[in-house]
Amino acid sequence: MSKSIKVEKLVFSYNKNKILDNINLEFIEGNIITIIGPNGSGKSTLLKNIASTLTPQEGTVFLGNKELKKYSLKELARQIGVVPQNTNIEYDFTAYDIVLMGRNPYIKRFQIESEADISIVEEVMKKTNTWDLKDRNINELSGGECQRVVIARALAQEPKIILLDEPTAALDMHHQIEILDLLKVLNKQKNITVIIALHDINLAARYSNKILLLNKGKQVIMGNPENVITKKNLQLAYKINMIVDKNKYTNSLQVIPLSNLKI
Amino acid sequence: MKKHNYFKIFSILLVIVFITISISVIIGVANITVVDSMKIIFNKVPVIKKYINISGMQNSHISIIQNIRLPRVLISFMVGYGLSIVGVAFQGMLKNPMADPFIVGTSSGAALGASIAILLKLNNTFLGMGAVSIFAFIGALLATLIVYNMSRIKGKVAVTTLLLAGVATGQFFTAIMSFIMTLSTKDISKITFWTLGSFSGRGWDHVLIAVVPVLVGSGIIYIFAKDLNIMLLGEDNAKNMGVDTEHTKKIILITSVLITAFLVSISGIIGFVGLIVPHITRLIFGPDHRILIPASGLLGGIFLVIADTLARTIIAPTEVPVGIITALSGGPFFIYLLRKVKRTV
Repeated sequence: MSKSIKVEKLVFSYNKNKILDNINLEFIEGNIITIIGPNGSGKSTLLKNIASTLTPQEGTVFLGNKELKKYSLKELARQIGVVPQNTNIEYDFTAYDIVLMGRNPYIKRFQIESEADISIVEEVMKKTNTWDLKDRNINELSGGECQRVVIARALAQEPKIILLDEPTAALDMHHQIEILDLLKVLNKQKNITVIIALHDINLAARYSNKILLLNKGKQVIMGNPENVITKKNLQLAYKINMIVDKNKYTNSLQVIPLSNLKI
Repeated sequence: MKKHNYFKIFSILLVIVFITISISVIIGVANITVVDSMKIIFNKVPVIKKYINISGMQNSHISIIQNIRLPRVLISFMVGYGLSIVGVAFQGMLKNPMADPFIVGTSSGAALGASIAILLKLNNTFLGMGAVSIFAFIGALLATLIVYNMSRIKGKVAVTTLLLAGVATGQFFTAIMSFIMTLSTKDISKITFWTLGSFSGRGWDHVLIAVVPVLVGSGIIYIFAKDLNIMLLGEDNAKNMGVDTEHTKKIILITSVLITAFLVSISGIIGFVGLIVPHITRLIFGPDHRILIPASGLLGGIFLVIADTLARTIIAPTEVPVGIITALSGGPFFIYLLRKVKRTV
């Protein structure tokens, strides 16, 4: 069964404010899809609707052929792993404990973790380069380490799809690239569909094969980076003067915003 | 969760429980020797009792140990056990270190119920429970029901609203209670004594009333230990990891309120235990609810048994409300621990 996500006529409002307005699109499985758009364009809200954290007022989200709301929470957790915008864990759990919690959707109420669960935890921690951190308390880790642990936790759910909301927002460039490289590897090796909300258009252009541009809750365009990252599209959403060209080192599109200031 | 040796931890705790209970039964105004006390206690235990001969002892001594001290020690253990477990569950579920078993308005509801019964001078009993206890039970449930319904928005329990509604309802009920106290000044001392908690005159009837709700209730809460762990990562995250947070919150809330209402109707409002013991246990054993829940229960029981033994002996024959002892001893100890471990709760 296909594990693509299809969004049909989705409308979501907080109180009376329409955050997402008539969104129709499909996230085809096996892709790395980034969602870009200005602040308040509805990136996070869209992710939360796909993660089933929020329920749309109108419209439907499908995972495969089945409506999202027809999945039980545990079924869904085996399909979709979510890495939230900021993970703030104030309790003294070790990194290992956190990742082990990711096995929850596979463990029945009166069961304890099996050998298989333990070995999957080890595998995902090694893959995310967090195995060395396993006995450290989560609240003692740096931002980048913590983010990798949270990704490992999501991977322990063995999802087909992983959703990430600004996973690199609080990280320096070294750790930004590290996280995005990791996602790319996971996409290649395990064919996991990766859906990321990102602020950084240049990184989006470098790492994704599909980009969705949102503006004020509406879909501007979705497609290949070359079709989306154009001056016309971006200016429509961001309302700023800019230069779009090809970076000669990375060979991907890059955007340089220009200042309106004249001194 | 550092890999604790569960077996070792709980063996040690159970031994301490046993020692505390034994010593507390021995200590008291009536001068009964250690050996005699032990004989009387073991005489109640099946199998062992064949080997024990208590025929030579005074009947009054046997009666004091069997019918007064032993049930009282057991009931104080159960109250400490139950309140601490509810405290752990609430602190975890609400992700709020200030939460205690009474945070959802239980105590003020119980206090109001009790003071109405005291004011009306009701003396009827039902299933061995006095009118004051029954009114307290009803008051506790009523207050929590109001709080619960206020905090339910579109079928979901909003944590912040729950906390605020608990405080608001609590204040409202306390105001009515204060008004009752103003109307009937001669009952003030009785009401005050009740709101500070006491085990004076509690017997086997009360043990029987409390034992089922406490054991079954704590068992139910323990079943959700793993869900509580995951919910510490935030409710949305927990949902994405397959935890039905709303279901968990409702079950824990209802179970906890029932446990608390039963306990409060027996002992009055014993503050502090349900707030401090969970924190102390967390400082010692870490945040894993699978250890935290049973360990807090046992430590809470031990703490309250000691506190009540002090309450009845410290200025005997006058009894001190046990709530005063728990606050006086628990507060400084907790601050000491907090400073020593230098961790945030």
